[in-house]
Amino acid sequence: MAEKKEYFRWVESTYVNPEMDWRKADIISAGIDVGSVSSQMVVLCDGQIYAYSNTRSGSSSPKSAQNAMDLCLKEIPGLTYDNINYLIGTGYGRVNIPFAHKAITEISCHALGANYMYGPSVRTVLDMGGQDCKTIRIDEKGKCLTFLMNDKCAAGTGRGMEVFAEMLKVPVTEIGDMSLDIDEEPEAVSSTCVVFAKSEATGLLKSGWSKNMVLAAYCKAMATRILELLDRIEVEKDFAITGGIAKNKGIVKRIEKLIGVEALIPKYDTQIAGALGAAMFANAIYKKQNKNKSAA
Amino acid sequence: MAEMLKTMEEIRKVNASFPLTEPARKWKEQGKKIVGWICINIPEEIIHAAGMMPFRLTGGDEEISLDLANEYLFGGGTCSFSRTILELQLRGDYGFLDCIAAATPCEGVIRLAEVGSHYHNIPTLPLLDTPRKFNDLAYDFYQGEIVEFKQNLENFFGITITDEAIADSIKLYNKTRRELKKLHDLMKSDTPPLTGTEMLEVLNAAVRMPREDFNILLEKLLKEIKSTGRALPAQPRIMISGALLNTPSFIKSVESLGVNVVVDDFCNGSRYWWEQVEEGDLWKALAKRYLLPKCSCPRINPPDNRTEWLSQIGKDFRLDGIIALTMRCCAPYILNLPMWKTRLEDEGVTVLDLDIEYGGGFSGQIRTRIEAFVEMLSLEVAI
Amino acid sequence: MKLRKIENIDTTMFEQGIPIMAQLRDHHSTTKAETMFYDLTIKLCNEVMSAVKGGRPFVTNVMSFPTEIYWAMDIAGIEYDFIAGMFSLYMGNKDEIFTAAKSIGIRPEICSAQRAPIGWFAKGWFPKPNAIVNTSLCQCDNCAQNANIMGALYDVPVFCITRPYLFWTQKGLDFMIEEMKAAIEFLEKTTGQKMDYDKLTEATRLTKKQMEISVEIHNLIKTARPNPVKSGTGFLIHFIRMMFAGRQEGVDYCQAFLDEMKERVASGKGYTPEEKYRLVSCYTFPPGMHGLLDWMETQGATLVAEPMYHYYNEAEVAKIDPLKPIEALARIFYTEPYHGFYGPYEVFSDMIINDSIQSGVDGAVNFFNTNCRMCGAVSRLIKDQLREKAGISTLTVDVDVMENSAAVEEELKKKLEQFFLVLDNAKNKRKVA
Repeated sequence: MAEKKEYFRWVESTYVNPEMDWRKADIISAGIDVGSVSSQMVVLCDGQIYAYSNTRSGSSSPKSAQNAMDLCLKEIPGLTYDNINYLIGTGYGRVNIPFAHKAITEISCHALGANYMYGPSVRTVLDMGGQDCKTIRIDEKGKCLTFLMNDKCAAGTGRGMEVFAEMLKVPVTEIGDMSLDIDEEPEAVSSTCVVFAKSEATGLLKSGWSKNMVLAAYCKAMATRILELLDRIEVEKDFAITGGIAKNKGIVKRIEKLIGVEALIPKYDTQIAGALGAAMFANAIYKKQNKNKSAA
Repeated sequence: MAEMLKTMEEIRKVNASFPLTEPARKWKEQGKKIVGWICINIPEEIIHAAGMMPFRLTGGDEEISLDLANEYLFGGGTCSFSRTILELQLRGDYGFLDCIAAATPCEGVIRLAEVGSHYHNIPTLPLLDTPRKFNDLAYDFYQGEIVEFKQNLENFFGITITDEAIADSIKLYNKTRRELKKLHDLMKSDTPPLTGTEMLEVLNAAVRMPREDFNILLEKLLKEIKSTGRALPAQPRIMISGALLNTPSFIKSVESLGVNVVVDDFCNGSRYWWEQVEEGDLWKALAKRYLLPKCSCPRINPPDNRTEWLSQIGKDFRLDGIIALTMRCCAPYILNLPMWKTRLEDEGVTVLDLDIEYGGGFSGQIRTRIEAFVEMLSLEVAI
Repeated sequence: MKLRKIENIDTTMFEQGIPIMAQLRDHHSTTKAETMFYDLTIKLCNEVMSAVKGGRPFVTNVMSFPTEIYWAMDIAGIEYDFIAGMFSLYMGNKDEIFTAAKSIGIRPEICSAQRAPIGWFAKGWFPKPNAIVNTSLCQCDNCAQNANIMGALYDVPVFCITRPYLFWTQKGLDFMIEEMKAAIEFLEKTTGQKMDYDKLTEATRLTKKQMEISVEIHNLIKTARPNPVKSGTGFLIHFIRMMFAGRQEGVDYCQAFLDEMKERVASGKGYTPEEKYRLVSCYTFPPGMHGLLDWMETQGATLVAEPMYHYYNEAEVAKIDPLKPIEALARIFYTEPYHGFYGPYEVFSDMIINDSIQSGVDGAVNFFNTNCRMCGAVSRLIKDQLREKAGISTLTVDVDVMENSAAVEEELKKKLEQFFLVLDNAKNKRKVA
């Protein structure tokens, strides 16, 4: 029997820095980001990225967190939960991570994570996640100054993309490139609501549109929807994007065109930004606690 | 964890049954009358001088289904406060009121009063016309309206309300204002004696029981605070701003994140008791007191006095942040918020603009935003 | 976005709206009333741009401000909610202005008509006035407050004329007289112009004339069969009356409107091939949905009674005395039927019910503006009372006042079709009975 291909699936991944040895670190801090679509764990050694995992979330937050941690630690010989000095949970499921020492919102974590990933010049962060989008203005230290969230609909989110991928039978990781491989930019689909966009897309295909054109129209609509969040927060350079949809070049390019500002090029997996920020907070909090202890 | 104040337990008892509180029930058992009022432009003293108990119409400490109200007061533009009140009226919960007094502060309240009067059984007095300005013209006009309000009350109940009785009631209500101001000033401390939750419970009780008895409770509370020296730990100091808020559980959820809610600008909060009724001609004095230019309802023009007042509060209370609870469809609040938000932000106060429904709880989306806001105030980012 | 002074004001977008009005006039008008409407709108926009470019005083106002004052003080003026709404409806920039408004915190649940001008100011597209005047329109919260934001954006002074909730009383009238005086004082200070009271007398005389003609129009609507006014076009004369109050052009327009009606009456033909459903429109029909109105006419349905625009009280009009011009301004403010709709329920419910009965309508449509805190709120009550006191059914639909999409038009057609069946049934029942 032929294996049923699941177009919404993207590959889970892990990373370990081969040039670092966790045994030499003073502080090992970690962050776990449990989102509705994906979960990540990041491990820092003395504030530097050492390892991370990127996994698909399940329906249970504690299980998703455990799963992300298992996958990450599996790659690091000898390192267990007990070696971690401080662990912070973030994301949608942050209050349901039983082994976390503290929970911090994904807003604060993405702000700090973006500061690490892109450098202190970043002032505006756009996070396009699994189920929501947010824009954050930050300072040179990665502190959140103000933010806006759109968690009322799936427009421009991973969930929306997965729905489209499945419907058009296109691997979700290829949507962006395909949407750019067209002769002429089409009009955006009229509705940004995923429910209506689906039926509109079916109609377009029937009337002879190619898959790439339909994807282009959808990406354009998503970018327009996200534009509102960006306009309202007032984009100040440098501008950086985090979250899974940052990997969708089709949306990124169209956003850049709409706001007339280019996003910084990521050097890390953009999906780890939340967990990274959480790990950085963990590092700072543990440091402060220890300083107090030694002072006492 | 600070100890429970004994007086707070008594106050909780008052709020325990809603909306017919125990004091209100006892009042009615004695054959006495209760006049419900909506909006702080209704001079309570006049109701009190008539020998009746003024009782403010509010929602309870929870969000309720508004299916019934939505049939009569369409939700597209009508705020959830108006619809909550109508819902409770239609359900019969406010059946113990002998009549309702409403003013004309905004379209929400006006249409609530008018539409409601056609569908629930509680008689509604003619509306008290409330100016949007506070110049001499407005005060003169408003004074005339207050006199008419008294006459309407007299006609409805077939009684006479004397100036002497009103003067006595003013003294009683002024006492409340003085004492509440004392309580408010104590919250300026780094280690305030009350939580914002407790403060709201006190304010809720004030308008749901006979004023004489409330003043006694209030005095007791102040004495107990003094004698116990109660002081809560110093935490980031925030104000909750909004049209009105009657849900202590909401403030409790906010404070559980590690902040002290030290002040508010609700119409059932500081705007309710700020300023006394002055000496002199009592009608002029009532008009002047009930149309406050300083801590005015967001509906008033021009908006400058309110901005100055909020800025001063920011300084007096050394606020770290303000949560602006923007009730959906509350046009006066929405159109007034931009006028002071930037100013307070420029003065170093972080402002969170949050969409809520009246009576709404601490749902996931609201929780995340408020948590992020608190993190902005308290989380150090030093790496 | 913080509320900061807009440094860059660029009126290009505003100026681009003017030829679009001309296009509408040339391609869309089917009646003289409509053609003249666009012509006069263009004229006013040109007056504004001429003043702005020539450094002469220009003031902008919300609906119901007594524009006779502009004429008597030689100030160029235009109603900001009208022009921002008209332009954005046809220029395709609704999304942009609403996003701009949202970025300073003005959410979508605020009435579009009063949100649009905020957007125009936030984008720096609106020509810079010397001052802004708004009114509480009796009790419209949006009208009473949006100018504060716009004034802050452009750093210009703002004055609000407030009106008591209960008018038709001496106390209310006295209050309004003082408000008018204060408004004049404010404008003298902010524009440097002086009020010419002779001109003001003349202006109020002309407004009174406009209202007298409007009474005639209303009488003709009530009595003529079939409907001599193109369905749902009351808003045309309403806006011209608002913006050309006190001016001869306003009088000429009202007269032309009436004359066109009389021609129709003389011809014996209405605008619908066969008038089957005479309807009363409880509130503002969305002006962008003329396609829907055209379709309704093919179905034999016409909006005959529009009390908001036509229901003038003849006795009150007679009381307007131009020789007491300020009092006249206050009376005009009260007599305008549109303003009555933002006051006590009893006042406008009487207008709707009486107009329905007097105009002999078969049913009512209440296409209320989605986010209107006034008309939406009372729609159930109006429906119940129209049934009880006028014996007619009401179709209640909420439509955004700036809606003009084909998709919504289709939805509304379906609802209207069903409603026509209801009216058919009611007619048949009456025949049988």
